[in-house]
This record gives sequence, structure tokens and C-alpha cells, in this order.
Amino acid sequence: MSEDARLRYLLARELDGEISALEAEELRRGLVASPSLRRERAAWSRVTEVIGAEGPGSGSLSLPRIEQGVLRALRGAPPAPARSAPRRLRGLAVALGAALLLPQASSLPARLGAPGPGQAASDEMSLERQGVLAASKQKPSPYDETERAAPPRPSAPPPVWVEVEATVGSERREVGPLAPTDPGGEPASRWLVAVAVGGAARGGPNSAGFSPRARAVSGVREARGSRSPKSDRPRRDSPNSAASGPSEIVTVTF
Amino acid sequence: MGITSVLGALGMEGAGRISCEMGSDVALLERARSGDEEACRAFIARYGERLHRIIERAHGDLQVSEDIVQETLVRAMRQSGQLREETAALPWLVRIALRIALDHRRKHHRERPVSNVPEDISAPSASPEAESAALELRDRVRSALEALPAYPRELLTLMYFAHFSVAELAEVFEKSEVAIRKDLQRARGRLRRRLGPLFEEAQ
Repeated sequence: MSEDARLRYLLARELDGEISALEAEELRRGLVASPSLRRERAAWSRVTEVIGAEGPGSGSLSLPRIEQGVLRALRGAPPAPARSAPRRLRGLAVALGAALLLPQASSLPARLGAPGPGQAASDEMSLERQGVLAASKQKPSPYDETERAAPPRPSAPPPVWVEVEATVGSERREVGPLAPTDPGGEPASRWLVAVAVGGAARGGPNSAGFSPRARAVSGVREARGSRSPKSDRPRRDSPNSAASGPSEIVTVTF
Repeated sequence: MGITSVLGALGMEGAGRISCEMGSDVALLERARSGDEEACRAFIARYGERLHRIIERAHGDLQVSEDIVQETLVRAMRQSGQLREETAALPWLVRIALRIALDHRRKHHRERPVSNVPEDISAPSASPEAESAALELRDRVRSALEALPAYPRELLTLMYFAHFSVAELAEVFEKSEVAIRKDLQRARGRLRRRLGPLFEEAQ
């Protein structure tokens, strides 16, 4: 390697920020004998100084705004991923759970004679928001006992039948109808949340053996004892439904 | 030169202390991902401003650099599993940010950034002539750098503004250090050709 090539190599090392002390000394000595390379090095020094200069535009970031934006985005995302379940479904489950829980918790229990969200049901609701499906429990929860122990209200409003249809991908599955006011039955809001959150948390259509309808029906059967939910439940278009009170249809899409 | 010198150069010497108090980057990101807002804020405080300064220069668009930083931090927290304890977080964040910036350029069909070189970078000069020469040099370097394609511009900006090492650049661009050295050489060659008169004066 010629002297000039060696000096250019050392200059490149310096510009890369990788020159060693020994090489720097060699470059310094070599530049004494090479005025053109010395001037080139000085030119690069000025150029890199300009590139590296701070300016008034820098540091104008609004950290609070960034924080708000990041936190808002993260709140819309699942907090802790379960690697087996698709993220999109988990996110949807949380959104669905919240969307279904809030209006149902505030209006349905009151109309159906169930405890409101501020009562003993709140802990149970919280569990269900986390995807704990009530139907999978072997023992009755304290919420169930509270429900059963509550004396019947003489001025209770007429029962409202809630029909739930779950659409998983292109497949539509009927979940309901559910009769929340049936003695020993489950409050509709619980079922809606359980179906929405628990269903998606189990992987939706890809989950082996998951069926929102089966879970809902088996849960009602358990709550009612030996009675068959299919034989008892009124059809939307049957005269019984009118006799039993108004009907609500909720579609849950996974 | 490395992250430590970047902290000093950008006036962020306190970041190391924050790092010790709040835990490792990986731990912070994991906590942030699991919904810990305090950890999220701590991570943003640790890297947000540095990242913004770098992206502002490398991408060149003041209007969107803040959006890029925000999107970068969101993606980082969602993809925290990709950051290993031994990996420096800043190059990793810059890598994410440059991808977002590239997407943004593609989306808006814009290669050339909006001018963002600061207006008052010239040091106080002894004379009006010297000040004028410094302003002229700044304008020439600014124009030449902005005229470069994105990759060499980002390389040179990360090297001489953010003071990234060759190893860190290799991490950012997912290339070998040998390839980065060659690319740096080429990028300097392109810049040099655009700054021709400046270097001719040096001959």
C-alpha cells in the first residue's frame, strides 16, 4: 500500500470513528508531508461539525403529548398477550366485553331486577371482564348465591328475553335466547360478557370445541336445574315471547 | 463513540441515572406492555427526546417526526420481546423509526424531506466575514445532505449527528460492520462530490 493510500485509509478510519491511538499518531505524522490530504481532512472536519450541530428545531418534542398518544394506543391493545390467541381477537374481546358490559350492567340488571354494577356483582363482573367464563365454574359463585337469596321483588318489571347471536368469521351462531329473570337463572349481562370475552379468549373459530351456543345453553340448563332450556325458551316470533315481555337481540361478532 | 457520547452530545447525561433508578430497558418495556403507565412514561422520558432529535434530522420532516416517534414507541412497547438485555435500545428504536419513516415516505411519494437544518447553528464569529463564511458552509452542507438519497443521508446523520458507532449502525440497518464501512465510504464520496468546490478549495 502506497503512503497516500495508507493515509487515506487512516483518514477513513478516523471518519468512521474507529481509529486507534497508534493509527491517529501515524495519520498526524503522515499529514505533515501531505498538504492536500491535510486540507481534505480539515474540510471533512468542518462538514461533520455542521452535520452534528444542534439547532433550534431540535428538542421541540412535546413529551406529554407523546405520552398521551402512546398510552392511548397501548390501552387499545391487549395488556398481556397470550401467545396462543390471535392478538386481533384478544383486542376485539376486550372491546366487545366493555361495549356489552357497560350498557348491560347499567340498564339490564335494573330492568331485570338484578343487582346493579355497584353491588355484590361488581367483583364477579370484574372476573368476567378478564375472560373468566362463568359456565366453566363448578361451584356457584357468591354472586349466584346473592342472586338466589334475594327476595323476589313484587314490582319487578316484565322479563326481557335477550337473544344473542355470535358471528365467528363468516359463521353465525345463535347463543340465546336467555331468560335472565327466570328463577335461578343467570343475569343477561353476565352471559353477554361471558360469551364475548370468554369466547374470544378461547380463540374464536379456531379453538377446538368452542361453541358460544353450547356454553350458553349448558350454563342456563345448569342454572335451571333439570329443565331443558330449549323447551322453555320462547321463540322470537312465537306468541310466548310477547307474553314474556320485550325481546332484545344482541349480535356478538368474533 | 457510542451511546455514552451520544448522551453527552445531546445533553442527556442524566439518562444513565434514570436508567439505574427505573431498571433495564427490557424490564421497563415489559412493564409498559403489561399496562404499567409509570414504566411507559419512564421509557418515553428516557428515549423520546433523543429519538426525536435523531429522526428529525435523519427523516428531515419536522411535521411528521413527532408522529414517527410516537408510533415508534408504541411499536417498541408492543414488540418488546425483540429487545434483548445485551442490545442497546437506541439503535433498535432508531431501526423501528426509520422503517416507519420509510413507510411514510412511500405513502406520501416523497423522497426529499422538508428542509430541517437549523438556522442558527453558526457559532459566534469573530467577524462578519467569518460569520458569513460559516453560514455559507452551513447552506452548502445542508443542500448537499438533503440532496442525498435516504439511506446515505441517514447513515451520515446517524454517524455525525447521533454519533452512532459502526457497530450500532450495523444494528440499525441490519448489515455487517464491513458493509456499513463500505456504505459510509460511498456516502461520504457522494457528499464530497456534491460539495465539490468545498473540497476543491482544500486541494
